Amino acid sequence: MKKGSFEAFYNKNLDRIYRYVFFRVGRNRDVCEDLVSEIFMKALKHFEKYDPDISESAWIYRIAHNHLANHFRDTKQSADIDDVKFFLVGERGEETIITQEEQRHLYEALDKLEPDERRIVTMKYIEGYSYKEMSAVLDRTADALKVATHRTVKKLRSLLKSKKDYVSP
Amino acid sequence: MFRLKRQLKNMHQQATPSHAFKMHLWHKLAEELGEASDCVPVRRFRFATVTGIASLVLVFGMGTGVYAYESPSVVDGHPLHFMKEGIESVEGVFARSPEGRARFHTRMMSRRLEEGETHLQDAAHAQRALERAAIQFEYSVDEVAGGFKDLERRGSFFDDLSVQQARYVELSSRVLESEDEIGGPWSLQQRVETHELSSEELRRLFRMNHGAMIDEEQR
Repeated sequence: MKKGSFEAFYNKNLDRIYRYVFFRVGRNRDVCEDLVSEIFMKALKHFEKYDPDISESAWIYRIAHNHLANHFRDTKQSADIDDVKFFLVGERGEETIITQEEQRHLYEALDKLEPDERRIVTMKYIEGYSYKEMSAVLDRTADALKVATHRTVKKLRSLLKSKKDYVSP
Repeated sequence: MFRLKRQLKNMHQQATPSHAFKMHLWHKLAEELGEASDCVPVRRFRFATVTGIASLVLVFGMGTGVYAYESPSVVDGHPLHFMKEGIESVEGVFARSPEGRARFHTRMMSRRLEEGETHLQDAAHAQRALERAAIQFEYSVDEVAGGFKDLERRGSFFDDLSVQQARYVELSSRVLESEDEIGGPWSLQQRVETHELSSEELRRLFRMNHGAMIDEEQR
């Protein structure tokens, strides 16, 4: 196993996997950090199997997905790991954690998207994957993903337009 | 008022792991990596071995090259002769001006004569050395006649070349049984007959065996 290779792999994927987990555990940093640590430990253990020629990102993405599934099973939580829910219970009302109106609108709009659409937007704009990397993870062509992302962003804008404070970019 | 892309970017920023967490996790992984992998020292060992071997090959190659270049005993048929020829070819590439090329061929002539002197006991080698020295002599004169304009420097060059010419004559008298053989004392003069050299230049070039020329003419 090459330390340099793993370090490069770690630097490339840490932020994305962190974001992937972060929005699936209710933006809880402590839980997120524990899970991300475990995911990378697992990746290190099986790093011999990693073949960047096959896919640079899909391998760690799959480990993260399976690890989250185990976590939800162990904690007896029911969750759709492929989907992300942005609005948390307790966020509405005066005691909301999110005080910024704009962000609240965006979370609401994101939650109104179809799960597939939400997944594409979060992967592209929040987790920071390229279309090529997304195509390896989602098993769709990069061109198809470009079109789908474009449509989803358009839909998201129209959802936000209906909000009082939103002005189209 | 907000824009979608900016908002998404903000979300992206909010979900960034802290630097402390990144460092902490990397230290944990590096520790684990150090324990799990014994490949790192092996790789260092391999690197050291390869570097050591490469250095040895380089030093040995350079030493051999210097020996091949410097030694007059390295002639046709010697295992290192190819190295000698290679180094001389490279040396020739760096001689760019007509004067530089002329001096290079004079130097090569001197080297061939040295080889002939070393292989005096081996007539075949010595004769071949003489032939090759004569070729270098002709090349030298050719370069001078072709583009060596400065008369003073030309004269000085012919003085230098005449020393090699005299060495050639001296060696050929020791090697050749008959003056009619290829490489005889007159072969050099025949080689430059077609070149446009003044009588003064010819005199300077062959002055060291001028007596022999007069004797031959008288004969």
